[in-house]
This record gives sequence, C-alpha cells and structure tokens, in this order.
Amino acid sequence: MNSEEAIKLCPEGREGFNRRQFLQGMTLFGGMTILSATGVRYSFAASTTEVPDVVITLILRGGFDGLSAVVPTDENLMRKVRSQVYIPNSALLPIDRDFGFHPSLKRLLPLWEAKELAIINTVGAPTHSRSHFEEIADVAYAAYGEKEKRSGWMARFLDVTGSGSVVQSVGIGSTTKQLLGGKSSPININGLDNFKLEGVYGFRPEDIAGFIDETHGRWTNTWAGQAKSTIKALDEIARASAQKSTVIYPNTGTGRRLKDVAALLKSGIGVRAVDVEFEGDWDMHGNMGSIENGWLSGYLGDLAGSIAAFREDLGVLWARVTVVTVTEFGRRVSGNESNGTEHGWGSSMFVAGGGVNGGKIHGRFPGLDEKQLKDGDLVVTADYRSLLTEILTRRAGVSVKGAAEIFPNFRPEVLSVMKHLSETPLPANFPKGVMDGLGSVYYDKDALPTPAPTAVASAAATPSPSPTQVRPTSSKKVITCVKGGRTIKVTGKNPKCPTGYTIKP
Amino acid sequence: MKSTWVEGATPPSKDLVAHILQRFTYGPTQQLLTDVRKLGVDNWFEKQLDHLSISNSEVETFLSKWDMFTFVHKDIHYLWPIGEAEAEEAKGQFFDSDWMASRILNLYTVIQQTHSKRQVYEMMVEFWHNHLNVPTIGHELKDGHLDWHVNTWNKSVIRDHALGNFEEMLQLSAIHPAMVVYLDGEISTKELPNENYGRELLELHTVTPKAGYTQADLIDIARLFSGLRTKLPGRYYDRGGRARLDPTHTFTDVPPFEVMIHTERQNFGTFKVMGWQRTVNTVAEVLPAIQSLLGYLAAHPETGKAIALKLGRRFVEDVPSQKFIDEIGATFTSSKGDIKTVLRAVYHHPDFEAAIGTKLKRPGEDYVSVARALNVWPNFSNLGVWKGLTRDFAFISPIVQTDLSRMGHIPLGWLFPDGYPDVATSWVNSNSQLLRWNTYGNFLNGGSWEKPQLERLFPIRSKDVDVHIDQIAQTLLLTELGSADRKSIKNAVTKAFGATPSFESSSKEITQLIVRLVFQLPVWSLR
Repeated sequence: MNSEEAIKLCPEGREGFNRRQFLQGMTLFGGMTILSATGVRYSFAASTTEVPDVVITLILRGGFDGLSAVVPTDENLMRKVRSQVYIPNSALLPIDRDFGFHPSLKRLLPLWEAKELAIINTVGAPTHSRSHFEEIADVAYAAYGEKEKRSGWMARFLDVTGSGSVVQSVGIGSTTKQLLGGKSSPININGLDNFKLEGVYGFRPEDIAGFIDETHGRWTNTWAGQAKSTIKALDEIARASAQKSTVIYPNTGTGRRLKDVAALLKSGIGVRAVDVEFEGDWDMHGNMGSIENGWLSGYLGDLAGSIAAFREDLGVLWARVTVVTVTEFGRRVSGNESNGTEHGWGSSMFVAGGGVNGGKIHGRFPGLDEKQLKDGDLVVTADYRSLLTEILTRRAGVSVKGAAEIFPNFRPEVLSVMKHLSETPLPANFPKGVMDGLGSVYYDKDALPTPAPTAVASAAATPSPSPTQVRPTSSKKVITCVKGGRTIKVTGKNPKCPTGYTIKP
Repeated sequence: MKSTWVEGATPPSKDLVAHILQRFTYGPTQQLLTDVRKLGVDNWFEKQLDHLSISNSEVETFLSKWDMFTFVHKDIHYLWPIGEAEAEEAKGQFFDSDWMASRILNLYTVIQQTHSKRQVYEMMVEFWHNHLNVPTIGHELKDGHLDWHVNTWNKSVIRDHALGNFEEMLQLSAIHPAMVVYLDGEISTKELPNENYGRELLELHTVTPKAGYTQADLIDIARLFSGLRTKLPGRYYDRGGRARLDPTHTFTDVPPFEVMIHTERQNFGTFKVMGWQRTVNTVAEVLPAIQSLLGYLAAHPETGKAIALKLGRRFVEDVPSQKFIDEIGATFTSSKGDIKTVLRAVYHHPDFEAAIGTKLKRPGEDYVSVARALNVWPNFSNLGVWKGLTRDFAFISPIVQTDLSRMGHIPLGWLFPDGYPDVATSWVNSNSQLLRWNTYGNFLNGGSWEKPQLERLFPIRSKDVDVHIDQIAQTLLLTELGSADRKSIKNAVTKAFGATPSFESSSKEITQLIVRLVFQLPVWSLR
C-alpha cells in the first residue's frame, strides 16, 4: 500500500480525531502511520484507535420488575393482571405509544428526551430457574454451559482489553465480587473516604503499606495477590477522593455510590469498568406500597435520581460512559394478593450514556396474553449477553473474537442499542487527564457484525435459545473477507462478510 | 484457598492441635493450646460437644452487668411493653428506626464468640443460623417485623438445637414466626400462595436443586403452608410498614405467642412434593402434614449431602472433595441428622487433617480472633444513653454498628436466605482488606473494646528486640516466625525507634508496633 491509498482510507472530516489520539494509535500499532505532504499524520487502515467508554453496571439485586417501571399502556390488560399493583395510564409518564414510565422515574425524562437513555424490554438470562442465588451468580459469570465458573464477565472483559491500571475495574458497595472476580484482583470500595490505611505510633501509613507489600510478596494466594493490588490502589483512590462535586445526589446509598463513581472517573486514574450495587433489595413479594409512596416508588425514585445526578456530575465525561442496569430476573406478570409479585423471567434493562441509541424502546415485547407467557412469566426475547456484547464491541474496543471469549457458547444478535464509537466523536473539551487515563482501543466498525434485515423486520417473539441448545458449536465455519488491502476472518454458523467486504474463496 | 510461600515467610503451624483449634474455635490462644494439650485434644473435642457441661460463667457475669442484655432471647410480649413504657421519643427509636432488640442480639453473639468456653457450640450456632438464615438486621419495609422475633428464633430454633438433631431444628424453623414473616408466609393467600418459603425450603434448607424438583413441587408446598401465619394482633402487623402503636390496645389481652393455621387461607386436597404425598381435608391435618413433609425432606440423601458440603466448607476447605461430601452425607443420613455424630465424622475425616491453613478467615472471624488473642472485653464506658430512654442501659456499641457493619459481616446479619458465603473468593476484596488492617490498629488503641494489656500479654523478657519479636509472634501465631518476616519486623522497629530501641522509655510503643505487624502478616488471615 502506498501513501496515497492510505490517505484515501483515512477517516475523513471526522471531528475530534486529534493528533494525540493518532499518536496513541502509533504506540499501539507502531509503524502504521505516515507523514503526508502537508505534514499531517494519517493512518493506513480503515480502523482507528478511540478512547473507549467506561462500562458501568448497576446491579438491581432481588429481581427487577420491568412491568412496574416501563409500564404497558394497555390499561385494561394491566388492570386485569395486576389488580393490586396496577398503575393507571393517567399516572404514567408517556415515553412511547405502548409504554409509559412509572411516575417515580420522572428524573429520567430529560435523559430520555436527550436520547441518552434507552430501554430494552423482555431481556434477560437464557435460564428460567426463578432462583435468586443461581441466577444472580449465573448473570455475573455469564458463562452458561461452562463447567468451571471461575471469573465474572467483567473480569474477562478486562482480561481481553484492559487499561493496565490497578484500578481498571472497581466494585462499589458490595463485599462479594462475582462480576469482577477472576484472574486479576479488582478494587472494591465502600466509600472513597474509607479507602485508606491508618498508621500506628511511630510508623506512618505508607510504612505500613510497605510492610504489607513486602510480607505479602512472599506469598502466592488469592489474599496476598489482592493485598498487593490494594496497596497499589491506595494512591490512585486518594486522587479520586480529592475530587469535588457540587451536584446534589439523592441521600441514599446508591446516590453516594454513584457520586463516588463520578469522582473515580473525573480523577482520570484509568477506571474502565465499574460494578455498582444498588443499595436495596428489589425482591418485592409483598407490600410494594402505593404509586407515590413506599418500597417500589422509593426505589424507582432513587434509581432515577441517582442516574440523573450522575449524568449531571459527569458533564462532558458522559460522552465516554455506558451505564447498564442488570438484574437476575423479572417478575411474574400476575401480581399476587400481597401487593407484590413473584419471581419471573423477562425484565427490562436501562442503558444510559453518551453512545446510546436513546429515546427508544428496543426489544421485542411479546405481549401479556396468557398464551404468550411461559408459566405466567414474560418470555426473554433477547439475551442480556447480546446487549453486553454490543456495549463491549461498539463502545469498549472488544473485538468479535474477544466477545466470544468473554461470553462463551453464545451467539449474540445485533440489537443496535449502541452507537459505534466512531459515530460519537470525542468532544473537543474532553479533559486530557481523563483521556490519558482511559487510554485507547483499536476500533474498526466494519469488523463488527451489522444487523441482519430480518431481525429488524420481525415483530414476533423469538425466544432466546435455552442453554441446552447453545453448545460450543463444532459446526462453526471460518471465512475470509477482503476489502481494500484488509483481510479479516469471520467465524459463525453462517458467517457473512461485513458491508463492503467480499468473501475470499 | 491454596497458598504457596517462599523461604523465610511464616507458614501456618503444622501442629495438628493448633489446626483443630483454628477450625473449631474462633481463634486459638497460647493458653487454650496449653490447656487442650493437657486434656488431650480428642477429650477436649468430646467435651465441647457436650456444651452444657462447660461452665460459661465469665460471659454470664459480664452480661449480667448490663441492662440491655435482659432483652436477649425475649419474645415480643416482653419487648413491646418495654418500648411502650418509654418516653415518646424513645418509642420511635424502639419501634421504628434501629432494631434495638436485634442489635443487642448481634452484640451478644459477638461476645459469646469471643469469650464463651463453648467454642464448638458457638460455631455451630453461627453455622445453623446461616443455613436457615433469617437476618437479624431486617429490611426496613419487607422485614420490619422481624426484629420482634429473631431473639426467640435464635434461642428456641438455633441455640437449643445447634448440637442436637437437624430434623427437630427444621421442624421448628418452618413454623417459627421469624421464618413465617421473613419468607412471606404472613402475606400469603389461599388463591395465590406465596412461593418464597417453599422455594428456599427445597433450594437452601434441604435437598437443593440437585434433587431435581419442579415448579409444581414448589406450588404444592406454598399451598400446604398458605394457612400459616403468626397469630398476633393487627397492631403488631400493620401491613405496609413498621409496627405502629394502636392507642386503644392494652396489654391485658396478649394472645399466646404461637403460630396458627388460618382456615380461610388454608388450601386442602392432595399435596405432592417430589416423592412425598399427603391428602389434607381438615385444619387438624395440616400441621401433621407439614411435619411429615419436613421429615421426608430432612431424611432425603441430597439433604445430607447439602449439609456435608456446607460443613466441609466451614471446617475443611472451600471446595470439599466429593468423597468427603458422600461420606459425611451418608453419616448425616444414617444418623438421622444427629449433629454430634456428623461433627465427629468431620473431625476424624482424613481431609480435615490434610487441610491445614487452607481457609481464609472471614472478616468477622478475623475480628473476633484479634479480640481473643488480645483477651479484651467490649468497652461500654463511653456509650451514649439513648435520648428519652428511662431504662438504665447504654446503646449501641460500635462493635456491631460500625466495625462489623463496615466489614459486611454482622453476625447473623446476612440479608438473603442463603446465609453468609463461606469461601475465600467471596471475601477477598480491597475494601475488606483495608478495614481489617485498620481494625488491628483500632484494637491496639482501644475504643470499641478495652485497651489490651500488652505488658501482661507480651512481657519483655529480654532486651534483645529479636527475642521480643519472636515471643510476640509465637504467642499470636502459635508457630515460629520466618526469618524474612522477622527481618521485616525488625526493620520496622528500627525505622520507628532507632537501631537500639530503648525498652525503658518506649516498651509499650515497641510492643504495640510489633503486635500490629504480626497481625499484618499473611498467615494471620488464615485459619
């Protein structure tokens, strides 16, 4: 390839593609840059390097009831199935012809209107056990069909493409770290201000830290490995702890946790993934409260208020953030007689951030008729891993191959909930320090799957394959596709070349 | 948790007696080790199983000094009038905000774990509480009524049977108001029976999903239990929030504290659960049917294996061998759930002896083991008496409210029905590590606990710093310090107090630093 061809292939007129990113690209893929006649540097390939999103999961433990949050506007049907916990249309916040927000989600409306928030309906796990403990663990491992479940998907994500920072993944709030646990030793924080070491008379905190580092360095086990990371993280977290915010968050555990996440992101210490636990239990078998007051309303208000404050606090950083809610299952369509709901299956996921195809309800809602349900539950029509795959590939620099390592035995479908990184240029005023901390990822839009036309046209419910159907396929084929001088390999049962590529026989 | 270490590090003691005490107590001390050696470790274990034969007077004397412990193990009819008798402001604290009776139970549990001579019994109390978990720190909205019941739950279901028979415990658990409230029996109905209890009974308390039950099995349990609710006046169970006062109610008509079957909510007919089946046509037949079902489940081989797995995790290693699970499970089943017989089998199992130093202390265990090593009692001297309370008790100790709460390990405090996790991977995280490390310092300074008497625990027998370091380490770790670790501690002492530290002017400070650093060694976090 000569230099002229290279210039032709370079992304044209793309805003925000600055010299600095370019140089980062050079570091990663050395030798791929040239100098044009005008002295401007251009890249050879169609692919670029981009500053990736920080991926934040907000865990709603206990089983989140999508139908109470994103409520179908078929009022007669809802009254019939949810006699005690039903919300009349007059109280709903309209967002769509078929659905309305629960009134307590009011603070999410500005995000919705700005198209920074999307909903995916009847999404969930492939398994239908209705068991909290199995499902919450499985959702975190996301390795259905694997015998050994050693690491959470977030840990595998960072194994594939991490920033290398000791604080690249951070857990907020909980002590059990299924999602992040794996090869690396993630950092877990319960209040930034608590993340410090105290000295003893005559011996300063840094001396204690040095002693711990030295003595734990003589051991190899899970505890000692974590200890070394913890010691390394002390200085980084102290930088985050020094961040100030004037935004008023809800005075709740979740509000405080998201405030801490914002501080971590603003400090530019290289956090790439955060696992935040919503403080509270969504397992509402009874006594859910009224539309305005009580358990459900309070939690939804907390959820909406915390996310809204977080978005405000982040300012321009929001351009490189994806927040996604995750739960173990939705709840039974019919309410029980205790003003509550039983464990179900399909639920709704919220995705917010700078790269969301927002203001839109995604997913294939099958309807609430008895015959469309499975044992009284909303069927899962989209696997949550498809959404996560899309977040990781379109926003976080994970390749198709990488995604297959993160989610084994799984064939994702394209949901088009997320925009490609290359479609959301980095704002000019994005702080340099944060950009440096995030680093950059190799990004090639054309190497990612595009939606099959049928998937868009089909309105019918197609239940996601159950784990017994999803096996490590030996029937997978590999084809080679070519475009320009670039060759890629596509793996799949029925592999197709991406747009612009032709199959190489 | 598997470990390796380099030459010069301090590995866990290879001594079998030390290993037994690490696993079957909340932390061995040099004194305990000496006593057990004198008695013979098998004799010690056997005596521990006969816990009532062991005097616990030291703890009882301590508890009797504080009014607040009169709440412990008392039922709602004792607690409620105390709350009502208090001033208006105190009522709010008593009824609405702070689960006072439960917090005191948590504190009581920590004190027992730290100072009771019945160590195996206390370990089994914690074990069974986690197995049939009912949290003692309730969810404000869902379990707001639990705090009135967890005290009798702890006594009559768990403590009275912790070294007894599993089936008896299971039978009592199923109909205790704490369980009925926690797993939503209280809000179940005839037409749509609440499935929460039935699900956990199968999944967690007995056979586990390995037994291959179905949703139909769950529904039948829910239907069989649908009439069960705690028979207490509406004022205790003002649905939708915490218990509220009913000004018209007087305490002369307190109903019997028991669980009753409510005819209008009860389902009848034939119930089938896995291989079990029973036809129930009258109210009188409901409880016998429940008992029969629970007996069937308790005797199921999968129940034995499920408990064997948990016992293995508790006393042996994070991933017990299949052989261990099969053998201990078989002992459980053949002994009809006799807990002492099963514990003896665990104690004598070859896997137990082979597992030295493979368990990580959970945060609460680490915390209690430090208190035991330093032989300290809770410090209640600085506690504020609650505003408006007329009774003479101080509330609340930071031991539960601050220290253990931050570590996420309040005893009996896991919010979900599956009990606290018991494998290292669930507890290894940086937040927890920092809290533990700082806690060692807090213990030495005194605060939540009395300031330890370091000069009595670790008398200076030599002016040689190395000798002093070795003696402290030996006392705390029950093993010899590795040479590299000794050097690290010596360097620290030198850094803080100079190359020739003066025992005359700063013996306390030197000892304090050495003790803190010994706690910081990786080996301290193992049991």
